Amino acid sequence: MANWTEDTAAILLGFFIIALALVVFLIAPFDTVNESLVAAESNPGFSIDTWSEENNSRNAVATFFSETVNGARPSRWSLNPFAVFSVDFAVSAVLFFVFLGLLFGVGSLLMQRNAQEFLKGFGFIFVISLVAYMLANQTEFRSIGLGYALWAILLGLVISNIFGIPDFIRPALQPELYIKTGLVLLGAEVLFGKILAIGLPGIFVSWIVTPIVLISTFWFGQKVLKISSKTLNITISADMSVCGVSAAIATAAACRATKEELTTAVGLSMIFTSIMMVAMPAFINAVGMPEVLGGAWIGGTIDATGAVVAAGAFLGDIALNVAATIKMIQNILIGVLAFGVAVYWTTKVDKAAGRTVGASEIWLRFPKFVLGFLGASILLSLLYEVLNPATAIVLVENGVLDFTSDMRGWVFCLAFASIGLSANFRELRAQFHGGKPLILYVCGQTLNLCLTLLMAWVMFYKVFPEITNSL
Amino acid sequence: MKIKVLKSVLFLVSLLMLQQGIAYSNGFDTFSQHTAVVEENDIDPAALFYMESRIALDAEKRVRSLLE
Repeated sequence: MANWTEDTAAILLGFFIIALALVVFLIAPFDTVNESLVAAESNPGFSIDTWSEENNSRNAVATFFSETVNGARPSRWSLNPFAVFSVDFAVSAVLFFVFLGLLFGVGSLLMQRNAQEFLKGFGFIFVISLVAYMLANQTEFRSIGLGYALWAILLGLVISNIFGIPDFIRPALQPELYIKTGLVLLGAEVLFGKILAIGLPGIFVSWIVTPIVLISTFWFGQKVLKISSKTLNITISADMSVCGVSAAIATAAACRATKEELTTAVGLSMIFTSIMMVAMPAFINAVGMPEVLGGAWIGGTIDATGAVVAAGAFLGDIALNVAATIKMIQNILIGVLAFGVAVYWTTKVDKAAGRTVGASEIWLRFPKFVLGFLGASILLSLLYEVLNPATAIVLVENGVLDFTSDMRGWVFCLAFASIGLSANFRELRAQFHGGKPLILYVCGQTLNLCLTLLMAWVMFYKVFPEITNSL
Repeated sequence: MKIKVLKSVLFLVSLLMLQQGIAYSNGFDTFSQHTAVVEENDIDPAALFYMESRIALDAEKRVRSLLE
């Protein structure tokens, strides 16, 4: 059997899930749905929402897959955590556990590890992930954006540091395999066509300011703060300047940052996202900033998409639309970021002093999952563009990508639970020595706030005022 | 064993305090308005990526159609 690594196994598992989604949600219903949509589009007043309400684009198999993945996620609750339990939830959770267990069991087998032992420990990690989702759906925690990623890490850390980890769990602690599989799935969601959504102002605010902030913050961390770990520095810089947790995961995997470094970056991002989500719209309202400018500022600076939507909605519909669109364009940068960091680390950072690195060595060291990420992105972007637009929305966006993004959420949750369980609390505490990561984040975010506001004002009010007037 | 139980209780108490702290902060105008917006629009503020947010996807389509 070929020697499978975490990268190659992750590419295989990621593409298996994407292929499954394509068959179930796109290929099987394609003829019927496409024909119906093309006919309906010729009617005046056609709307995809109305069509979707009146027609079912999913067959029984698609409904089964979709309901199992969604049903396994605990519902919302306020005071009584037991309110989430029901027969439907239990059945979905068991089925989904079997599906994920088999999937990653095969991954373990490919990497020449014992699949039976893997499955014994996997149940424990799956239960932590369920509890993490349950806590994320508590009304108050949800309202300020404390998501599953934070809870999975925290629960893992608490369990490993209070009770220790039983030996039977260790074979299932494979954060790299989960993370890289999740990243291949994330690649499928990066649709390059979305970059043109708001024209040039969006590209300037998202794709010009963001790299400037990223590089400046990394430079500041190395030269001024003298952070000893370059991987910690780039992970925090990327998560603060691009799109929070997902950028942190992609960058950390591309430069091989430690679990503790990723945990530090994710923790910082989630705390500041919660603060900025409430503080920024309050400030924008207080100074009477126009909605388009406020929305663009929020979209370019707040880390998580959900928090951007919440902050934008606080200001009004126009701000929400602009903020979410700017964030979406910025999210697309994640593929370029992962590729750029992987190339830079392979050719510059990891290179021994005074040595030239040959092409074969670069290829050997290059994190191959990045190619899976880019491949998935290119495949789905092309598919989205060649299909009839309405069909692409109904079958790809609402079908294939709805399923893969749910799957990706679960896989990341497993990854964070594994990270929490295997992270060393002392090493984690050492990351904060001297408060450097915090200073880096605050200084980088301050630069981000200033540059984004300036660029948004120049683009939306001086260079392209006609776009602002159309919104 | 006693220490393990104590630490576990401490963790649960901290969770409860955090939940109560957020609930208490809803007494302040900014927080209560924020929570109301999140609830009314059924927003998930923890959504990491744009595909996880139906509102973000719809917002992009609205912007495109306005500009077209």
